[in-house]
Amino acid sequence: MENLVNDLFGQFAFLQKLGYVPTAAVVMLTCGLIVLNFFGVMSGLYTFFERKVAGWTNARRGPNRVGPYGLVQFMADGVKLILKEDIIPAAADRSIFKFAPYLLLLGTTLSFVVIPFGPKWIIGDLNVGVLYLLATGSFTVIGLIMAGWASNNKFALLGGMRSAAQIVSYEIPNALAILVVVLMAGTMSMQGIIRAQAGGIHHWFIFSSPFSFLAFFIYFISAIAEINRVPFDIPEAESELVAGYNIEYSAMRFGVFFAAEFGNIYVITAVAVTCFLGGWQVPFLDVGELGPVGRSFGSFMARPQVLMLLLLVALAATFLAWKALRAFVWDVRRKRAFFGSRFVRFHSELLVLGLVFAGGALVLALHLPLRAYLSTIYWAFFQYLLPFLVFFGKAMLLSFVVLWWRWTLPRLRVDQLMGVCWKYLTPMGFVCLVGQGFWMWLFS
Amino acid sequence: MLLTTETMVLNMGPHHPSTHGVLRFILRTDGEVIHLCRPDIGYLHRGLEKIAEQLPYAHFMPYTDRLDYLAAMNCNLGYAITVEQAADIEVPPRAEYIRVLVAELNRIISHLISVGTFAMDIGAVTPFTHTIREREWVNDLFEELCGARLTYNYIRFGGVVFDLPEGFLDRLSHFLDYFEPRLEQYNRFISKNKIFKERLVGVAVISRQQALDYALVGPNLRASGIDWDLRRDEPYSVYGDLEFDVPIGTSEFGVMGDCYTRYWIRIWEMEQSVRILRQCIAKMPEGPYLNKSKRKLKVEPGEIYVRTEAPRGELGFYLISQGGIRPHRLKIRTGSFSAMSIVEELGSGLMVADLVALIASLDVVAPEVDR
Repeated sequence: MENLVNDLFGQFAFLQKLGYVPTAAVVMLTCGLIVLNFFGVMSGLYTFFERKVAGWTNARRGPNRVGPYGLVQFMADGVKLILKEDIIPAAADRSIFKFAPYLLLLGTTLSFVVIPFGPKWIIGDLNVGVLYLLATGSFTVIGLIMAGWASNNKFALLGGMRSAAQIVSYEIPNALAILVVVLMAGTMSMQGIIRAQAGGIHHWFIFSSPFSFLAFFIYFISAIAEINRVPFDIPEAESELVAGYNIEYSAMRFGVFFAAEFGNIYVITAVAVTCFLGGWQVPFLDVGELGPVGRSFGSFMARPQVLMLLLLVALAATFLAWKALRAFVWDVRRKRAFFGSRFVRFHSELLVLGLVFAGGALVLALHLPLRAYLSTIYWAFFQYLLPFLVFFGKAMLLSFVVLWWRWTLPRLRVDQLMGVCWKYLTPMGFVCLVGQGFWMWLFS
Repeated sequence: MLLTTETMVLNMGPHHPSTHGVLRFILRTDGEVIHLCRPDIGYLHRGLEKIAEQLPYAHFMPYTDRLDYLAAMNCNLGYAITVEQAADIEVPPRAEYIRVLVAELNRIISHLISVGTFAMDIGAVTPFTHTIREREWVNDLFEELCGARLTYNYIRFGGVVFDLPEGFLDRLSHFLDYFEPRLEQYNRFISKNKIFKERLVGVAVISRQQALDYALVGPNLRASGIDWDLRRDEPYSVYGDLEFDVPIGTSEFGVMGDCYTRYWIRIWEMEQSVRILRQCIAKMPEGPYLNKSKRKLKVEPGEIYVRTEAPRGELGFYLISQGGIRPHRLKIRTGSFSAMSIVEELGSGLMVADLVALIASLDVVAPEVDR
């Protein structure tokens, strides 16, 4: 957090007038709110994403009614959940029943503290970052057992017991795989682990050694088991336990369970990206070294990587413009009204682009200090936006795999699940850890 | 062991996602392991056999649709053949071919549902939507044929109620051309999936002797290695003129008579049904589709038992007539009922998840159990 505060403090003169401590307070509060909201919106968007992926695999369409492409469907669902009657079974243990979902949510939210969003943007870059993550991950199991027990329902109880056995077991291969990374990076801090992977794709930990390559898959599989996703979703197995631990929950309490579950997908993919896929490291471009180059604009733009990037942006813009043109022609041929037209309905992104251009024109017309703006934009882009987009993109790619499995694979039986953990993943995790030690001893 | 654990009673159903209609199982479990599994049936009992005694013969036909709503044509066919044999009604050849055609088409969609829900019970949701998509096409064909999509009421004593519409056979063969590659796709998609196999191979094995003792029928019987199919061994309608194989369970996948074999039998039967359908299309004769000679139906006093091969196995109608326009007694023997009886023996020692697989593999449909 200090990094971010210092960075902003150095960049903007008006902050210096404000003073350091107030700046720090404001920045921290704002960032905390942004990250918290990011969590909320993400878990909502995940429900949308999941339903779209489900639609693609199930040969149907998925949500497409509320908002453009059905994007705000999750808000409608949220409103519905809030307005629904909240039923607590008469025989339930009321206080535990009420508390359980929030404990689950707490675990997920706490995880977001150490998830990086960029080189300088992280709520708390703890020196025990990954250890902290393993600890917050264990909140889940308490929440699930509490929910299962307090519901006073046998299916819920079975679900809670299953989740306890499952999550506690899978912590072990999970931790072992992360230990391999800690061994390689020499630090447990999330940013430290990402910085250790600087310098191109072959420095990413997944590709650094055969053992870390294996460790990635161990981590990914056991992490999916820890968040109860298919093929390890036995705690809520629909065809066996109806809904498992959350069977008695309704309305927003149920929604909170789901928000936590979907938020967890982002947590595990973000950790996988951090530990194995280079975090916010951009392939072919070293973002870390851009700090001091901040204001020497011309020399930076001349680099081949940047030119390539610009070329890509230009290609994307051309593609969008072509699609928009076709939509426009379609509208004109059919004499559609402006707001009902395809152009407006499907190309609202062009409106944003237009606003950006209008802003640029305004800057030029009013003779505003263009150079200062450009350097700020450039600083914001390469220090904040690009790393975040890269990180987010990688996480989304992995999330897609999680959702894709959800809709493709059947589910394991409870004993087979334990077998996978104790007979395969845990021994393999130990082999990876020892092997990585030898590997580093040989090649260092 | 000093540690003693209590067993608990788990009430599974009648409103449980994997009980295929309204079934109820009372389980005594020790954690996940089932010690005792007792099926409790009757939630869908509508007294069909009693209703049959109140109605003229022809009026009972729509009720046979509800006997097994996933295979209404086959139930129609079984009842029609029973009454035709009792009342001595001739059926024109075209009608016979149309009947076999619709019965096999219905066998395909019934097995599609079975395969899809099977995968869903194991936890894979997607295969179900894909099988439903194929079923939709057949439903459209049936709608074209008789106006109904689920409860067809299509077969009459002495034939069928409507002739095939113009171009129906072309559209049917179009569907078959589309459908045959789909089966291979399902196999790649789910049947050969490693987790799917892990869950099913060697689970809830029904031995030859057990299958005979519990009078299992249809795919469940054949999966235990008993080569018995009424279509071939006691041919009715025109099945004698058609060529098809009867798929038998093998120990190719591990154990004969386990859930996985029962799954495969249904996939193979769909292949054979496609073969039969192609032959029906090729051999479809011209001529009348309904023998209208006996409008006022009366059956001479006597008894008759007729059995046909429905998707869920032998469907038997035992008809006692004391003359007149109504049956004195109509006993219906269905496959799902005998399949349910074996659950209690196989259930103990399984895990809860295996029980779900067992029920799915027996392809039990609640209305057929309760009637």
